[in-house]
Amino acid sequence: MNLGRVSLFTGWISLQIVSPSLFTWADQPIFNEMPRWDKGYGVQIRHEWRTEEDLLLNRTKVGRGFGEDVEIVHVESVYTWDKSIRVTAKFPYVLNASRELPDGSGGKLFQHDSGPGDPILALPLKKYFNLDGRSGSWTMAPQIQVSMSGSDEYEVYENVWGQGISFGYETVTYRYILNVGTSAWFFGGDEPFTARVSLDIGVNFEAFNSNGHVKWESDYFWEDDESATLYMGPALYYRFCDEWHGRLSYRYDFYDKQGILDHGNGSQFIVGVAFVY
Amino acid sequence: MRAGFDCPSCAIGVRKMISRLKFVDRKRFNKGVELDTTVQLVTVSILNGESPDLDALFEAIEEAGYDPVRMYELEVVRLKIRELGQS
Repeated sequence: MNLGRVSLFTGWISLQIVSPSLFTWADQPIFNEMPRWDKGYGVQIRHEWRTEEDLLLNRTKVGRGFGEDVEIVHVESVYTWDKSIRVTAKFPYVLNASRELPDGSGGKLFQHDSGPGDPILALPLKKYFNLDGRSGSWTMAPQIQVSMSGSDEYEVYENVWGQGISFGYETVTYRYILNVGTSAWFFGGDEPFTARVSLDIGVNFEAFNSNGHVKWESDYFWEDDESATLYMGPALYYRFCDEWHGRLSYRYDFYDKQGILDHGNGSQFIVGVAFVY
Repeated sequence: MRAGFDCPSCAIGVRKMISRLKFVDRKRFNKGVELDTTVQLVTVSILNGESPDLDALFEAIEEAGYDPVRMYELEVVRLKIRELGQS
Protein backbone atom coordinates (compact mmCIF):
# COMPACT_ATOMS: atom_id res chain seq x y z
CA MET A 1 0.00 0.00 0.00
CA ASN A 2 2.99 2.23 -0.20
CA LEU A 3 4.80 4.48 -2.53
CA GLY A 4 8.41 5.18 -1.75
CA ARG A 5 10.45 8.09 -2.94
CA VAL A 6 14.21 7.91 -2.77
CA SER A 7 16.61 10.86 -2.88
CA LEU A 8 20.37 10.73 -2.50
CA PHE A 9 22.25 12.65 0.16
CA THR A 10 25.99 12.58 0.70
CA GLY A 11 26.73 9.15 2.05
CA TRP A 12 23.08 8.45 2.89
CA ILE A 13 19.85 7.53 1.29
CA SER A 14 16.80 9.41 2.46
CA LEU A 15 13.60 7.45 2.23
CA GLN A 16 10.17 8.96 2.23
CA ILE A 17 7.19 6.69 2.66
CA VAL A 18 3.87 8.09 1.65
CA SER A 19 1.59 5.64 3.41
CA PRO A 20 2.04 2.56 5.58
CA SER A 21 0.76 -0.96 5.30
CA LEU A 22 -2.56 -1.71 6.89
CA PHE A 23 -4.45 -4.91 6.45
CA THR A 24 -8.17 -4.51 6.03
CA TRP A 25 -9.87 -6.51 8.77
CA ALA A 26 -11.90 -9.10 6.93
CA ASP A 27 -14.12 -10.45 9.69
CA GLN A 28 -17.56 -8.96 10.07
CA PRO A 29 -19.18 -8.01 13.37
CA ILE A 30 -20.06 -9.58 15.68
CA PHE A 31 -16.77 -11.54 15.76
CA ASN A 32 -17.81 -13.21 12.52
CA GLU A 33 -20.35 -15.18 14.60
CA MET A 34 -23.58 -13.30 15.18
CA PRO A 35 -26.35 -12.36 14.85
CA ARG A 36 -27.82 -15.26 12.95
CA TRP A 37 -31.40 -14.19 13.65
CA ASP A 38 -33.84 -11.74 12.07
CA LYS A 39 -33.69 -8.12 13.27
CA GLY A 40 -30.60 -8.76 15.34
CA TYR A 41 -28.13 -6.02 16.08
CA GLY A 42 -24.87 -5.54 17.90
CA VAL A 43 -21.87 -3.37 18.59
CA GLN A 44 -18.30 -4.44 19.21
CA ILE A 45 -15.21 -2.55 20.27
CA ARG A 46 -11.78 -3.91 19.41
CA HIS A 47 -8.59 -2.43 20.78
CA GLU A 48 -5.61 -3.19 18.55
CA TRP A 49 -1.91 -2.90 19.24
CA ARG A 50 0.43 -3.50 16.31
CA THR A 51 4.19 -3.36 16.21
CA GLU A 52 6.35 -3.56 13.08
CA GLU A 53 9.96 -4.34 13.88
CA ASP A 54 11.77 -3.50 10.66
CA LEU A 55 11.85 -1.26 7.64
CA LEU A 56 11.73 -3.61 4.65
CA LEU A 57 12.39 -3.45 0.96
CA ASN A 58 11.43 -6.81 -0.48
CA ARG A 59 12.67 -9.08 2.30
CA THR A 60 15.74 -7.02 3.11
CA LYS A 61 15.90 -4.93 6.27
CA VAL A 62 16.80 -1.33 5.51
CA GLY A 63 18.96 -0.09 8.36
CA ARG A 64 18.35 -1.17 11.94
CA GLY A 65 15.89 -0.09 14.59
CA PHE A 66 13.35 1.63 12.35
CA GLY A 67 10.06 0.43 13.78
CA GLU A 68 6.42 1.38 13.86
CA ASP A 69 3.89 1.18 16.72
CA VAL A 70 0.18 1.61 16.15
CA GLU A 71 -2.73 1.65 18.62
CA ILE A 72 -6.23 1.69 17.17
CA VAL A 73 -9.76 1.41 18.55
CA HIS A 74 -12.33 -0.08 16.19
CA VAL A 75 -16.03 0.58 16.80
CA GLU A 76 -18.08 -1.79 14.66
CA SER A 77 -21.79 -2.49 14.36
CA VAL A 78 -24.22 -4.80 12.58
CA TYR A 79 -27.93 -5.00 11.86
CA THR A 80 -29.69 -7.98 10.26
CA TRP A 81 -32.95 -7.43 8.42
CA ASP A 82 -33.26 -11.15 8.21
CA LYS A 83 -30.66 -13.82 8.58
CA SER A 84 -29.59 -13.57 4.93
CA ILE A 85 -29.16 -9.78 4.67
CA ARG A 86 -27.23 -7.57 7.03
CA VAL A 87 -25.37 -4.29 7.01
CA THR A 88 -22.15 -3.64 8.89
CA ALA A 89 -20.14 -0.51 9.61
CA LYS A 90 -16.58 -0.35 10.91
CA PHE A 91 -15.11 2.87 12.27
CA PRO A 92 -11.39 2.82 13.13
CA TYR A 93 -9.84 5.53 15.28
CA VAL A 94 -6.07 5.79 15.59
CA LEU A 95 -5.27 6.57 19.23
CA ASN A 96 -1.57 6.85 18.64
CA ALA A 97 0.77 5.80 15.88
CA SER A 98 4.44 6.48 15.48
CA ARG A 99 7.12 5.29 13.13
CA GLU A 100 10.85 5.72 12.72
CA LEU A 101 12.59 6.47 9.44
CA PRO A 102 16.13 7.35 8.39
CA ASP A 103 16.46 11.13 8.45
CA GLY A 104 19.07 11.25 5.73
CA SER A 105 21.90 12.27 8.03
CA GLY A 106 22.45 9.12 9.99
CA GLY A 107 19.74 9.71 12.55
CA LYS A 108 16.06 8.89 12.99
CA LEU A 109 13.04 10.79 11.83
CA PHE A 110 9.96 10.28 14.02
CA GLN A 111 6.46 10.68 12.62
CA HIS A 112 3.10 10.49 14.40
CA ASP A 113 -0.54 9.98 13.51
CA SER A 114 -3.81 10.07 15.43
CA GLY A 115 -7.47 10.58 14.61
CA PRO A 116 -10.15 8.83 12.56
CA GLY A 117 -9.28 6.19 9.98
CA ASP A 118 -11.19 5.20 6.86
CA PRO A 119 -14.56 3.56 7.75
CA ILE A 120 -15.79 0.48 5.89
CA LEU A 121 -19.44 -0.19 5.11
CA ALA A 122 -20.47 -3.68 4.01
CA LEU A 123 -23.58 -5.55 2.94
CA PRO A 124 -22.91 -9.21 3.78
CA LEU A 125 -25.34 -11.58 2.07
CA LYS A 126 -25.52 -14.99 3.67
CA LYS A 127 -26.94 -18.36 2.69
CA TYR A 128 -27.20 -20.58 5.74
CA PHE A 129 -27.50 -24.34 5.66
CA ASN A 130 -28.47 -26.78 8.40
CA LEU A 131 -27.46 -30.43 8.31
CA ASP A 132 -27.75 -33.06 11.00
CA GLY A 133 -24.95 -32.19 13.41
CA ARG A 134 -23.41 -29.49 11.23
CA SER A 135 -24.41 -26.06 10.06
CA GLY A 136 -22.76 -23.21 8.23
CA SER A 137 -23.07 -20.48 5.67
CA TRP A 138 -21.85 -19.08 2.39
CA THR A 139 -21.19 -15.36 2.36
CA MET A 140 -20.72 -12.67 -0.26
CA ALA A 141 -19.98 -9.17 1.02
CA PRO A 142 -19.67 -6.08 -1.21
CA GLN A 143 -17.92 -3.33 0.71
CA ILE A 144 -16.83 0.26 0.36
CA GLN A 145 -14.10 2.15 2.16
CA VAL A 146 -14.84 5.81 2.84
CA SER A 147 -11.99 8.33 2.65
CA MET A 148 -12.07 10.05 6.01
CA SER A 149 -8.67 9.96 7.67
CA GLY A 150 -6.89 13.26 8.15
CA SER A 151 -3.49 14.59 7.25
CA ASP A 152 -0.95 14.21 10.04
CA GLU A 153 2.77 13.68 9.54
CA TYR A 154 1.81 10.32 8.14
CA GLU A 155 -1.43 8.36 7.91
CA VAL A 156 -1.98 4.81 9.12
CA TYR A 157 -5.05 4.70 6.90
CA GLU A 158 -4.72 5.55 3.24
CA ASN A 159 -7.33 8.33 3.17
CA VAL A 160 -8.71 6.95 -0.09
CA TRP A 161 -11.98 5.51 -1.30
CA GLY A 162 -12.04 1.78 -1.97
CA GLN A 163 -14.33 -0.94 -3.25
CA GLY A 164 -14.05 -4.50 -2.02
CA ILE A 165 -15.75 -7.83 -2.43
CA SER A 166 -15.30 -10.87 -0.23
CA PHE A 167 -16.50 -14.45 -0.31
CA GLY A 168 -16.55 -16.83 2.59
CA TYR A 169 -17.56 -20.29 3.71
CA GLU A 170 -17.93 -21.40 7.27
CA THR A 171 -19.08 -24.57 8.89
CA VAL A 172 -19.40 -25.61 12.50
CA THR A 173 -20.10 -28.80 14.40
CA TYR A 174 -20.48 -29.22 18.11
CA ARG A 175 -16.72 -29.70 18.36
CA TYR A 176 -15.06 -28.04 15.34
CA ILE A 177 -15.22 -24.81 13.40
CA LEU A 178 -13.81 -23.93 9.96
CA ASN A 179 -13.74 -20.61 8.07
CA VAL A 180 -12.37 -20.07 4.57
CA GLY A 181 -12.44 -16.68 2.87
CA THR A 182 -11.06 -14.57 0.09
CA SER A 183 -11.38 -10.89 -0.75
CA ALA A 184 -10.24 -8.28 -3.25
CA TRP A 185 -9.93 -4.52 -2.78
CA PHE A 186 -9.57 -1.75 -5.36
CA PHE A 187 -8.50 1.62 -3.98
CA GLY A 188 -8.37 5.11 -5.37
CA GLY A 189 -5.23 7.13 -5.92
CA ASP A 190 -1.99 5.21 -6.21
CA GLU A 191 -2.92 2.51 -3.73
CA PRO A 192 -2.31 -0.99 -5.08
CA PHE A 193 -4.90 -3.69 -5.64
CA THR A 194 -5.04 -5.99 -2.60
CA ALA A 195 -6.09 -9.64 -2.44
CA ARG A 196 -6.40 -11.84 0.59
CA VAL A 197 -7.09 -15.48 1.40
CA SER A 198 -7.71 -16.82 4.88
CA LEU A 199 -8.11 -20.13 6.63
CA ASP A 200 -9.26 -20.44 10.24
CA ILE A 201 -9.67 -23.73 12.06
CA GLY A 202 -10.82 -24.10 15.62
CA VAL A 203 -12.22 -26.14 18.45
CA ASN A 204 -15.35 -25.28 20.43
CA PHE A 205 -15.40 -25.69 24.20
CA GLU A 206 -17.71 -25.29 27.15
CA ALA A 207 -16.58 -23.70 30.42
CA PHE A 208 -18.15 -21.88 33.38
CA ASN A 209 -21.69 -22.61 32.16
CA SER A 210 -21.01 -21.01 28.80
CA ASN A 211 -19.05 -21.66 25.66
CA GLY A 212 -16.36 -20.40 23.35
CA HIS A 213 -13.79 -21.50 20.86
CA VAL A 214 -10.08 -21.43 20.18
CA LYS A 215 -8.97 -20.87 16.60
CA TRP A 216 -5.76 -20.81 14.64
CA GLU A 217 -6.11 -18.05 12.08
CA SER A 218 -4.01 -17.72 8.93
CA ASP A 219 -4.12 -14.86 6.44
CA TYR A 220 -2.14 -14.28 3.28
CA PHE A 221 -2.15 -10.79 1.72
CA TRP A 222 -0.86 -9.89 -1.69
CA GLU A 223 -0.61 -6.45 -3.28
CA ASP A 224 0.16 -5.72 -6.89
CA ASP A 225 3.25 -3.73 -5.88
CA GLU A 226 4.78 -7.19 -5.15
CA SER A 227 4.17 -6.97 -1.41
CA ALA A 228 3.07 -10.17 0.33
CA THR A 229 2.50 -11.08 3.95
CA LEU A 230 1.56 -14.31 5.67
CA TYR A 231 0.46 -13.87 9.24
CA MET A 232 -0.94 -16.40 11.63
CA GLY A 233 -1.86 -16.76 15.25
CA PRO A 234 -4.35 -17.93 17.87
CA ALA A 235 -7.71 -16.42 18.77
CA LEU A 236 -9.89 -17.05 21.81
CA TYR A 237 -13.62 -16.28 21.80
CA TYR A 238 -15.87 -16.57 24.87
CA ARG A 239 -19.58 -15.94 25.47
CA PHE A 240 -20.09 -14.30 28.87
CA CYS A 241 -23.87 -14.45 28.44
CA ASP A 242 -26.27 -14.29 25.50
CA GLU A 243 -25.68 -10.55 25.10
CA TRP A 244 -22.00 -10.05 26.04
CA HIS A 245 -19.07 -11.65 24.24
CA GLY A 246 -15.30 -11.28 24.26
CA ARG A 247 -12.40 -12.10 21.99
CA LEU A 248 -8.60 -12.07 22.15
CA SER A 249 -6.29 -12.60 19.20
CA TYR A 250 -2.60 -12.49 18.44
CA ARG A 251 -0.98 -12.60 15.02
CA TYR A 252 2.61 -12.74 13.90
CA ASP A 253 4.10 -12.06 10.48
CA PHE A 254 5.67 -15.37 9.49
CA TYR A 255 6.53 -14.06 6.05
CA ASP A 256 6.73 -10.42 5.03
CA LYS A 257 7.87 -8.91 1.77
CA GLN A 258 7.40 -5.24 0.92
CA GLY A 259 7.55 -4.48 -2.79
CA ILE A 260 7.93 -0.80 -1.93
CA LEU A 261 9.73 0.41 1.17
CA ASP A 262 7.58 -0.11 4.25
CA HIS A 263 7.63 -1.35 7.81
CA GLY A 264 7.15 -5.07 8.32
CA ASN A 265 8.00 -8.17 10.35
CA GLY A 266 5.34 -7.28 12.88
CA SER A 267 2.84 -8.65 15.32
CA GLN A 268 -0.65 -7.67 16.36
CA PHE A 269 -2.68 -8.11 19.55
CA ILE A 270 -6.41 -7.37 19.73
CA VAL A 271 -8.84 -7.34 22.66
CA GLY A 272 -12.51 -7.15 21.78
CA VAL A 273 -15.81 -6.96 23.62
CA ALA A 274 -19.24 -7.06 22.04
CA PHE A 275 -22.91 -6.60 22.84
CA VAL A 276 -25.47 -8.34 20.64
CA TYR A 277 -29.23 -8.59 20.80
CA MET B 1 -34.82 -30.93 17.99
CA ARG B 2 -33.46 -29.18 14.94
CA ALA B 3 -30.90 -29.84 12.25
CA GLY B 4 -27.64 -27.95 12.47
CA PHE B 5 -28.27 -26.69 15.98
CA ASP B 6 -24.70 -27.22 17.15
CA CYS B 7 -23.15 -23.80 17.85
CA PRO B 8 -24.21 -22.29 21.20
CA SER B 9 -23.29 -18.73 20.24
CA CYS B 10 -25.05 -18.89 16.88
CA ALA B 11 -28.06 -20.43 18.59
CA ILE B 12 -28.73 -17.72 21.16
CA GLY B 13 -31.18 -16.22 18.69
CA VAL B 14 -33.36 -19.28 19.31
CA ARG B 15 -33.70 -18.31 22.96
CA LYS B 16 -34.25 -14.68 22.01
CA MET B 17 -37.05 -15.50 19.56
CA ILE B 18 -38.79 -18.19 21.62
CA SER B 19 -38.67 -16.33 24.93
CA ARG B 20 -40.79 -13.55 23.40
CA LEU B 21 -43.74 -15.91 22.88
CA LYS B 22 -46.49 -15.33 25.45
CA PHE B 23 -47.01 -18.98 26.38
CA VAL B 24 -43.37 -19.39 27.48
CA ASP B 25 -42.66 -19.51 31.22
CA ARG B 26 -39.66 -17.15 31.37
CA LYS B 27 -39.06 -17.90 35.05
CA ARG B 28 -37.80 -21.39 34.30
CA PHE B 29 -34.57 -22.41 32.57
CA ASN B 30 -32.84 -19.38 31.01
CA LYS B 31 -35.70 -17.09 30.00
CA GLY B 32 -37.88 -20.17 29.57
CA VAL B 33 -35.58 -21.86 27.04
CA GLU B 34 -32.85 -24.45 27.52
CA LEU B 35 -30.36 -24.94 24.67
CA ASP B 36 -28.40 -28.19 24.38
CA THR B 37 -26.23 -28.21 21.29
CA THR B 38 -24.64 -31.55 22.18
CA VAL B 39 -27.84 -33.29 21.05
CA GLN B 40 -29.34 -30.38 19.03
CA LEU B 41 -32.22 -30.10 21.48
CA VAL B 42 -34.21 -27.08 22.61
CA THR B 43 -36.46 -27.40 25.66
CA VAL B 44 -39.21 -24.83 26.17
CA SER B 45 -41.06 -24.31 29.46
CA ILE B 46 -44.78 -23.63 29.01
CA LEU B 47 -46.79 -21.48 31.41
CA ASN B 48 -49.33 -23.33 33.55
CA GLY B 49 -52.70 -23.31 31.86
CA GLU B 50 -51.31 -22.17 28.50
CA SER B 51 -51.15 -24.26 25.38
CA PRO B 52 -48.26 -23.63 22.99
CA ASP B 53 -48.89 -22.02 19.63
CA LEU B 54 -46.87 -24.42 17.51
CA ASP B 55 -46.99 -22.30 14.37
CA ALA B 56 -45.53 -19.35 16.30
CA LEU B 57 -42.94 -21.63 17.91
CA PHE B 58 -41.77 -23.04 14.58
CA GLU B 59 -41.71 -19.58 13.02
CA ALA B 60 -39.56 -18.30 15.89
CA ILE B 61 -37.07 -21.10 15.33
CA GLU B 62 -36.90 -20.40 11.60
CA GLU B 63 -36.39 -16.67 12.21
CA ALA B 64 -33.48 -17.64 14.42
CA GLY B 65 -31.88 -19.44 11.48
CA TYR B 66 -32.68 -23.09 12.16
CA ASP B 67 -35.05 -25.80 10.99
CA PRO B 68 -37.25 -27.68 13.49
CA VAL B 69 -37.29 -31.35 12.52
CA ARG B 70 -38.80 -33.23 15.47
CA MET B 71 -40.78 -32.37 18.58
CA TYR B 72 -41.12 -34.15 21.91
CA GLU B 73 -43.92 -33.24 24.30
CA LEU B 74 -43.66 -33.88 28.02
CA GLU B 75 -47.07 -33.72 29.60
CA VAL B 76 -47.56 -32.71 33.20
CA VAL B 77 -47.31 -35.63 35.60
CA ARG B 78 -49.14 -35.32 38.88
CA LEU B 79 -47.01 -36.34 41.87
CA LYS B 80 -48.92 -37.97 44.70
CA ILE B 81 -47.43 -37.85 48.22
CA ARG B 82 -48.54 -40.11 51.05
CA GLU B 83 -47.49 -39.46 54.66
CA LEU B 84 -46.30 -42.64 56.41
CA GLY B 85 -45.86 -41.33 59.97
CA GLN B 86 -42.83 -41.28 62.37
CA SER B 87 -42.40 -45.10 62.72
